[in-house]
Amino acid sequence: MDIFQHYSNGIVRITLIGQLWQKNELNALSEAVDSSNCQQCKCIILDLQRVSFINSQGLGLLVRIYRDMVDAGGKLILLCNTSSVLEVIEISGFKDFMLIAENEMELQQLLNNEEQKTVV
Amino acid sequence: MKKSAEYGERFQRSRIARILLQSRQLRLQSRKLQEKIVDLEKKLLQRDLVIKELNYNLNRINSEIDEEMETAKRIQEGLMPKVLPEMINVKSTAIYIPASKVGGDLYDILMTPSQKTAVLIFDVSGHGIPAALVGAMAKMLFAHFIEKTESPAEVFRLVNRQICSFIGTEQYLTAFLGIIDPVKNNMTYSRAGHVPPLVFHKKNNQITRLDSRGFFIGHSALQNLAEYWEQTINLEPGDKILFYTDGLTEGCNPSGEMYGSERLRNDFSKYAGLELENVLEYIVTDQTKFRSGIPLRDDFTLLCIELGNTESLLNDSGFSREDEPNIRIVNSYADIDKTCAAILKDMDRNGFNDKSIKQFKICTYEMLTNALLHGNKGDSSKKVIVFYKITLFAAAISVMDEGQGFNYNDIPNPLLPENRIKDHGRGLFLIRHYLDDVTFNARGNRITGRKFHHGV
Repeated sequence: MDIFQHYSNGIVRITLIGQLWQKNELNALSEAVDSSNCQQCKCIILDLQRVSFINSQGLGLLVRIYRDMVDAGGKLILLCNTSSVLEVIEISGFKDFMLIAENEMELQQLLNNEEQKTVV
Repeated sequence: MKKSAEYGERFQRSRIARILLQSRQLRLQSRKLQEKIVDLEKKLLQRDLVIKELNYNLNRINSEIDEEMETAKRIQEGLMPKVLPEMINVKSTAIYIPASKVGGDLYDILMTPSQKTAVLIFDVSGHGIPAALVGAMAKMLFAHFIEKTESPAEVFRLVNRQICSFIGTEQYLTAFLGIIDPVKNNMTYSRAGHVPPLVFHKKNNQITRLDSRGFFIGHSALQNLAEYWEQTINLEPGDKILFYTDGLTEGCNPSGEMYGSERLRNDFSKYAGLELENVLEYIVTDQTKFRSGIPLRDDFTLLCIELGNTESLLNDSGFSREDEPNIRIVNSYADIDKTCAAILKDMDRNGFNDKSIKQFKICTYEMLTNALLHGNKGDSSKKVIVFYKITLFAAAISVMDEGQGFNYNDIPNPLLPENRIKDHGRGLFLIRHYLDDVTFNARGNRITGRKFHHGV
């Protein structure tokens, strides 16, 4: 799995390419999230648009990242439009508590909403 | 008186002159002899130098030969399996006994793409580096073609063609290849001029020979004559098959008598009821006793396999023999990928739609990962056995690990508010969501799932 990170105005966008289920893939994402930029940031966008497969181990890691971000007072947004991955995320009930965007427009909207909440 | 004195003086003078002459001659001879001695010494020295040079060259050639033999030995040892792989329903053990010369014995146990067990033994003609190199090439070719076809005769045809085209010498090899089906409990085999293996039938304590026609492999001048046939033998749990090379039966005693195939048959019959390792150990001991100190002319290999009880394995799986399920062993992430790829390909062949295939993929990965990480707790010495059967009506899978098992009722529902930020418990939830039927055995170390074909 390839991981690309982009940091801008306190927001880290982590783009994943490949699958998210094997130990080494989970470790790579954990390390990317644990890197110093992320610890300082207010929001992480996990771009899963090019993830072709995720299993319960991968879902477990997403929950862990979400928990850590919430504990640190930050946000986690999942950007995902792959039908099979999105389906698994929905079935697992992530939509009930996580911010999920299915495209760039929805992502921007979510970011704006979060910005407004912070201002209020 | 004066005359007499003169005569005496003359006589004395001539005597002295004679003595002087003799002395001169002697000196001359002595000088010649000394010259000859010097000449001989020179020649001796030269001869000595030549002998020393010859000795030096001989030692150099000897050490080169030793080095080459050592290399050949290392090549051959490197090609022998270090550990025989764990196969479905087949136990195996092997012994290789080297002789002073390096021979061309090799054996291998491989898993075919559909997880049948391929047992291969072969013996390259000749010794040293040429035999080791041909052995190396043959071993790689066998492994390559066993991946392509499960017909032993076809594997021999393909390997023969390749070896003949690569080598073009009169180096050849004899071989035996058996492919064991763990569900049907049979072995399809082909023999390429190799000594026929012996089968011990546990049910009636009988020994039979696996004879079949087939030409040896790799003799380029006789390539067009090479033809191979295959046969299938039914086996029962507890049956043992003894594969060997002719170095064993050709071992001689002090009176020049060979150990021979009859003695081997008797010994195998005597020990076949014992544990696998003991069978080989006792046969080797008997052959060594028979030789009474006469060294081996050729190295030899003994390989013995024993069939397990497929019935109990099938009973545990939830499938029956009539279902003819596919069986696979999973020990790593790579195995998970391979197994899933095979299952999904089978679903595609049976007309399942993309959505169903993707859903079944998730379930398969979940079951296998759980079995590997939670069931066997990542212990690579433990195996996960997967049984699956894909038909036009349904895709069925059963995954069994060697762990303690778990109570599936203890797994929390991840949709409940108190569980939703827990980072575990979603695997089984997904499996239950996507499959039409999910069951567990009482111990909790086996999960069985079924997904019916849409529209059927």
